[in-house]
Parts: sequence; C-alpha cells; structure tokens
Amino acid sequence: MRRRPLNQAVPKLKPSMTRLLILVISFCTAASVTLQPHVIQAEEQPPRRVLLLFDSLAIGTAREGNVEAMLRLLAVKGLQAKLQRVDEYREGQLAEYRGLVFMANNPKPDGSNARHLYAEDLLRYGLPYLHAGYDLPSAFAERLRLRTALSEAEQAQVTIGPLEGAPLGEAERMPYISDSQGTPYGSVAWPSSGKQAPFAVLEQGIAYAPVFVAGAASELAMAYMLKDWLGDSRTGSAHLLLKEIYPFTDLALLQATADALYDAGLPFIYSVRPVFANTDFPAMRRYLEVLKYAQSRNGTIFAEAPVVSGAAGIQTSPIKEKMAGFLNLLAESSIVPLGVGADAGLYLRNEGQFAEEGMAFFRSSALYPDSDAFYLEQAELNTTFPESMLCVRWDELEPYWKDRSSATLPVDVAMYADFFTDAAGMESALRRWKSDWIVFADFKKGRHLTRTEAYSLESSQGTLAINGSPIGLNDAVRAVSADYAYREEERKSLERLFTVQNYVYVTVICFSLIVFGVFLLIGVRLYRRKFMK
Amino acid sequence: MDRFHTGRWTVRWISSFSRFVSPALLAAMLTVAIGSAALFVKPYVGMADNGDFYRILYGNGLYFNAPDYDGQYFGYFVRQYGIMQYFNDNEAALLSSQSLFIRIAVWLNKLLYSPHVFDIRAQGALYLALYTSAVYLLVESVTWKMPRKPGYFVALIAVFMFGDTGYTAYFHSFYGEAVVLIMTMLLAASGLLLCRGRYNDYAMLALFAVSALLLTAAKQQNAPVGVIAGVMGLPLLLIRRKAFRVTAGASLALLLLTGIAVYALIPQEFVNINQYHAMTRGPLLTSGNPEAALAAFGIDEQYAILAGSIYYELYTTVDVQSPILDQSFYGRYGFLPILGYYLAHPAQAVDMLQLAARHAFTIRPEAMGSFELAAGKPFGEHARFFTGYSELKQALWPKTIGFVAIWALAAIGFYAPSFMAAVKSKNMRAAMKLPLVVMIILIGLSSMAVSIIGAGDADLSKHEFLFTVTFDLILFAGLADVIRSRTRARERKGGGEG
Repeated sequence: MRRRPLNQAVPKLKPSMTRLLILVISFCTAASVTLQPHVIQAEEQPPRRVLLLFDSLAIGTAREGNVEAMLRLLAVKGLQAKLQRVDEYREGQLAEYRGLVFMANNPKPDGSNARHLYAEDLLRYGLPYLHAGYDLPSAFAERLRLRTALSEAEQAQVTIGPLEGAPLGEAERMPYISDSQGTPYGSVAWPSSGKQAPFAVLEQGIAYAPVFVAGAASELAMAYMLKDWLGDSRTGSAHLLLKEIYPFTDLALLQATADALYDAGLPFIYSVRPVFANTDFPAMRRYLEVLKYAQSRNGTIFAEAPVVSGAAGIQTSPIKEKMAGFLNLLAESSIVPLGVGADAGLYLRNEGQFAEEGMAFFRSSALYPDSDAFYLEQAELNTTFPESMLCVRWDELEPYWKDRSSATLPVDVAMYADFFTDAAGMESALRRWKSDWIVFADFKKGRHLTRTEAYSLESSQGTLAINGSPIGLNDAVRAVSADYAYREEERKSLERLFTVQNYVYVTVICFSLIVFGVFLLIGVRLYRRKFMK
Repeated sequence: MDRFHTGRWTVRWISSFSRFVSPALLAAMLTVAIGSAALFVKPYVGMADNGDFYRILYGNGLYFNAPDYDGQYFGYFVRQYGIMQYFNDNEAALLSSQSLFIRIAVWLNKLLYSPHVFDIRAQGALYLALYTSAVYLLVESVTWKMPRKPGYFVALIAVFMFGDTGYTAYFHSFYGEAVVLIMTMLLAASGLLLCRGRYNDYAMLALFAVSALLLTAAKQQNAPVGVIAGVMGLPLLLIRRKAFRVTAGASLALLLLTGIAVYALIPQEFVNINQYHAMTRGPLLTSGNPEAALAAFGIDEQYAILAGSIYYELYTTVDVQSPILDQSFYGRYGFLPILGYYLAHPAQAVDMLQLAARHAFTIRPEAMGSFELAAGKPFGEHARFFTGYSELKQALWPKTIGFVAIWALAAIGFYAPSFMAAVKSKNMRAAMKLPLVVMIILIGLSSMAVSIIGAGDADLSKHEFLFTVTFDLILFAGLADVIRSRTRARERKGGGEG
C-alpha cells in the first residue's frame, strides 16, 4: 500500500533526471518534517494552507452542510483554509496553497471555464487534490483508473474503523466507486442489493470520495482518508464531552456526575460557559468550586465560547479582554482550561474577528456542528488549533461502534452530549457509557496549552500546571458563604443625630397637625352655631 | 398727524388680526412655521436609528438602501429609503398603528415624489399636518371664550412647549413616539372640548375614541392606555343621554378590549426581552441581596450572576432565548409577582421609581443624532433650533419621584374644587374635567410603572416618552386655566367697580 505525504510533490508526467533529484530532496525534507514528534514549541511550523472550492451548497439535498463539515475537518487537522465558489477561481491562484479540496455537489455542472482553470493549475503545480462528490475531472480519474456507477435508491451504510453499518446520506441514487487502483478507505454497502464499494480512494496525492455528507459517520470516514492525504502520522482517541454547562446548572448534579464518571473510570470533559460580570459573587465562587472538584475527579475543563446575541444590534465589545479575564479567573481558582468549545459557525463566520480575538488563547478546540443551518459562501480560516477534536454527537455514533479494539482513530474525536437536566438522565447515560465499546481517553494525558498574558495553563501526561508549577487537585468542594456585600455601604456621617432629629420633626409635625385639626373642627362648629341658626 | 394715522392703522390692523385670527389659529400657524423650518429647511432635522427601525420598516414595504447605513446608526438620520417593488415576504415584526401612517406616507410619496425611493419628509409632512391640527384643537379647548390678549399669550406658551424641535424631530424617524405625541394631544384636546361643549359632541367623541385607539395600538407598552381610557372615560356617559350614551359606552368598551388585545398580541421576542430585564434590571439590580430576591420568586440563587445584565449585550453567558431560562427563570415570575415584590419591598420600589423619575423629563434621548450625514455635522450632534423648552425642562424640573407625586397631587387638587362645584350644580360636562385630568395623569404614570415593572430600568427615556407628553399637557392646561381664572377675576373686579 503506497502512500505519499502531502508535502511531496505529485510527480510530473515526464520527469527528467534533474527533476528526479529535486523530488528526492523534497521527499527527504518532507519526511523529516512530518515524522518529527509533535512538541509544543515556542515557534511552531507555519500552518498549511488549503483552498476549498465548491460549486453548490446543495441546500435542500442530502449533501447540505457538507461544505461546513469539510471546513470543520480541515480546522481539526490544523489547516488554514480559504473557501470560495469554483466560478470565482482565477488562474494561478493555487500558487498560494499546498493543496486543493473541491466539493462537487452539483450533479449537472455547467462546464464553466473555472473548472478547467483549476484542473490545469493543479497539474501545473503538482499539488495534492481531494475531490468529494460528482464528476472527478478525467485527468485525475485516469490516474486513479477510476470507474464509477450509480446506485439504486436505497439506504447506504458505511463501515470504517470502529464503525459498522452506519447510515450514509439518504435513500437515494448516489455515485459509487466500481473500480479503482487507488488505496480504498472504508466500505459503503447497500444491504438490499448486496453491493459494496470503497468510501474513498487515494493514489499519489489524488483522493476521491463520491459521497460526503454532513454527519458523524461520514465525517469520521473522511477523517481516515484526510489523515493519509495530509501525511499525518498522528492517531487519535475518543473523548467524552459534556456541554451546555452554566453557572446556574444544577451544581449538585454537576458534582454527582463527576463522582459517577470517576467511579466508573470514565475520564470526561466539561465544556463550561464563561462568565464576564459579577465574578466575585458567591454564586460564581460556588460554580468555580464545583469545576475544580470535577477537575480533581479525572475531568478536564474546556472554556466554551460565549453566546453571541443576535439582539445586540450594532455593537462592539472587547471579547479578547473578556475571555482573558475569564481564563485568568479560572487560573486563579486552580482550574486549568485546556481548550475552547464553540459552535463551528462562530469560528467559520468569524464575525467581529471572534476567532482571532476570542479563541487565539487556545491550541485545542472542539468545534460543534451548528444546530441552526447557516450557508457560508466565503470564509478565510487563519486561526488554527494544532490539537483539535472532531465533534460528533455521542448518540449518532454509539449505536454503530463495534468492538474494534485494534482500530485506531485518525483524529481525536469528542463525543459530546448536552449536560443532563436531572439525575435520571445522568444515570441512564452512564449505564450506556459503561456498557458500550467506546474507550474514552483522558484528555489531560496529551500535551495541551492555553495561554493568556498572565498565565500559561498546560497539561502533560495527566499533570496540570499553571505557569510551570504543577497544581494539586482539590478533593472537597468548599462551602461558600452567602455573606457578601453586593452594594457598597454609603458613607454616612452624623447618622444618629439626623435619625433622632427626623423622629423629633415627625412627632412635632404630627402633633401640630392634630392640634390644627382640632382647632379647625372647633372653628367650624362655632361658625355654624353663629351663622346658621 | 402722521403719527395719528400710523396709530389708527396699527389699531385697525390689530383689531382685524384679533377678529380673524383666533389664539388657536395663531398657535397652529406658528407651529407649522417652526416645524416646517426645522423639518423642511436645510439642514433637515430628524432622529437617528438606534437599531429599532427595521422592525417597522420591512413589514411596511420599505428597506435600507443607503450603502453606508450601518455607519450612521445613532449618529445621523437617514432621509431616504427604498420602496419594495415586488412581493414583500417580510412579516411585520410588530403590530402597531404606526404602520397606518407609514403606509399613508408611502402612498403620498409615490404620488408626489417617487415610486422607488421613499423620502421621510413625506412622513414628516403628514405628521406635521396632524400635529398642527392637534395643537389647534388643544389651544382652542383652553382659549375658547377667552379674551384675545390672554388667549394669544396661552397660544404662545403652547407654541413654546409643543413646537419644540425635541418633539417635532420624531416626525423624521420611524420611532412610534411621533404617533404617541399626536394621539395623546388629540385625546386630551378632544376630552377638553367635550368638557366645554365646543364642536359637535359626536365628532369629539369619535376623535376621543380614535385617538385613544391609535395611541393604545402604537406601542405594546401602551396596552394600559386602552384600559385606563376605557375606565376613566365612564363620566362621558353622563354628558348626554340615549344615543350618545350608547355610542360612548360602545367606544369605551372597544378601548378596553383594544388594550387587552394589544397586551395579548405582544410578540414572544418582546416578551422575553422585557421579561429578562424586568428581573435583571429590576429586583436583582436594586436588591442588597440578589440571592434573597431570587429566593422570594422561587428561583435558583445561582441566577444572581445575571444581576444587572442586559438582553442586548453582544457576548453573554447564556442565550436569553434558551430553554434553560424558559424553564428555570422566566417561568417563575411575571408582572403581578414583580408588582407584589415591589409592594413588599418599598425601599426597592422607591429606588426604581427614582430611577424612572431621573429619565422622565427627557423629550429626546441623548444617544441619537439629529442631522443627516450630508449636513456635515459631527456624529451624534443634536439640533439646537427652537429647543428652549426641552432644555429648560430637563434642567429645571426636579427629577425625583417626590416631584412627580407632588405634580399629580397638585393637578388633582387644582381641579378638585371645580369638580365638586360642578357635581353640586349637576353640570356633568364641567365635572368631566377632573376625571379627564386624572386619566391623563394615570396614562403618564402607567408608562412609568409599566416600564419599571415590565422591563426594569432598561431603555427608560424612550419608555417614558408618554409620561413626558402627559406632564406637558397637564402643565399647559393648568397654566391656561390659571390665566383664564385670573382674567375672569380681573373682569369681575373691573365690572364691579364700574
């Protein structure tokens, strides 16, 4: 099985001896780069840039959302990416990139000039190419010796790594690889007809996947191929992540869940919402105590991105200072946030430079698929996260996760769920986690770093450190006193004097009013007696 | 000789002027002149968008067509908007009587100016025409049968107060305050005219009902106006019998129902916004112990972290429309529980009322600019043309709840003797004046109460615009009545001596 790393140039059609020499030198350089063990260094290598083209967002079809899914995958692999429509491609643009991904969602492309332009540039520059969808250009189809066919309209299932029989797309006619000389990845089966085909193939830097949809199984399958396409030697683990944790989530349940997971030997991640105001309130201190406790019970803390309010209108806000403030607060409470959790849309749309300002503290991220659809036609991903996780809903993959103890994952996978609303929900989930085949790894075992101006927060082989000093993990949740001066007492002088004075005045005035009333009554009676006989 | 002729000519001119130009007509002419100078002479005066315009704009077939619109928020008012040419699939974000006036203005614009571009001056002209007639009726209601000289003086007071650019600037904006101003004035004027028996009773009753209806439906927070007008307008039933009584009764019932309907039809988004602020900018803000305040409502003490926060913050801990707030926060309190909380905690109630009073005398919010970008004025600059009254008002009146209470009691006390005398003499028309004054005071106070109970201290100056209008109307009516009674007293004294 021959594989070439991304950094190696795809061989030209008729190499001369000189070109061969250059090729060998390039290979040696690339190998020395990709095979180096990953170490957190002050100066990291510059991230690789990939151009992502698409011809259609496939809105209203089974492929809707696959462009955003691909962007997330590229972000997980630590790549910088630029997204644009294939029609806007200009000649020579590929010179700025290390590879090209094309999402061909339109089953009937219009044969525009741009498609020829990028294909020609690819051949000219010899860059790696990943094609997902319809109509692989013939020049590349020939290299793969590719033959495709169209399936019947029935539900397809994908099997790859630990996944077996996970649904792929919808029950509709879809292209599949009937023959290819490339390395196959996974298999797609149509149980009714008994047909089987590879999910994707890869050969000499050319990768082809006829069907890629947004969804946990498809994204994990694509991640397997991306790993080899990029020449990435790292493997990944599965992690359990619980999100939607607020300062007003049931703190007792948070604590009980941490205990239950610890007793079950399940490491976990709590992705917690930030707080930017009232951080000295007792309520906030209770929140921090519980997070610290969870950390001590084999938990890892992620700082989740704040909610961006749609009702805010035209406003700017210093998100960098706010996030730094929250992270510093966690550090001061001996809590080490090892990564950031955020909806992918927040990162991809990057409104108000959110990625640069609010997320640049972190090297690790968990980008959740957005629950609301959004349609991105342009994006420029410049902020990268070298250690990131592919986020999939736990209940999307768990039913198809079979005992494949020898199967390794191509990337770190965060299998996430929303935090529970009651103990019954927690116990039910815990039973399933204990009984299924998924082995969750401890995120702290890896090397992760979060940095603010004041603090350097890191993990290595299960140890947490703040500014280089390992922290002891607190066992007990300390009680927080509700005694707190919410308001500053105003300075008062001569308070007693004025209070007494007020009582005296009130007494005198009331007495005077009574006396006045009495005199008024007497006067009225005298008047009546005198004048109204 | 020349001096004699000049003097005679002057006297003749003054005599003709006072014969043909009533104080009301004078007030109307001056109002339209000053308003036109502000609105239709460069640099045009208006009010900048604070982000609220889109709610009323898109549902009425208009859209932002200025390419640099975003950069003009708060700082400059935009004069021109696009008119949608094809099917408008935008639903109205809110139901408001303001849409009626916008649509009439768009129709006028299409007729006289352009079918593609809406110039807000068309709306300004429509509002100014309505406002001028409102000023005319108001001044007429207090100066009818008043000698000309004091009448003209009252008219000038009216022009000084109500011709202020702080009021007329709203006509070049898509805020509901323009409708609130005109309808409140028409409501007061029609009520006073009914009291005095000036003009046809049915016509004035119709004006009373329509203006109250349009005022109630202008903004969701005006829902209590319909209820107040429907209840306090009951003395109208005693003015005349039979057909008038039936008509008046039906009108009042309609007003009552409109108030309830406006409340019920508040969009959920606004319910959540106000619900959020009612707690975070209400009891949690003023309480010395937010956790204890939350406990009073049966809410988890951890929500104390939200104390003081506002719905419109860009980056927040929790989505204000999220299920966790729906279940554990919004569902635990409402208007009546918060009212009950303030009644049980009078110190906090007073704090909130003081906060409300601080913003109650502002006609025009500080944040919004008055000029177009093309006028070359600094960002957020306010117009200073004919703004004497609004500036005086903001500087002069004590901004405390004590002063508001004194104002209300003084106004009621001022009209109480005449009310008792009218009741004794069975003059129900004259007796209606006190209930009318109380109605206007309650309408003003309701805006204050609804603001702080329904939405905490969020956006108070805009929410209390109705109070500032009613304050000015009561003040003006009181001044006019003082001038009338002194004039009468002088006449009686002069007649007696004669």
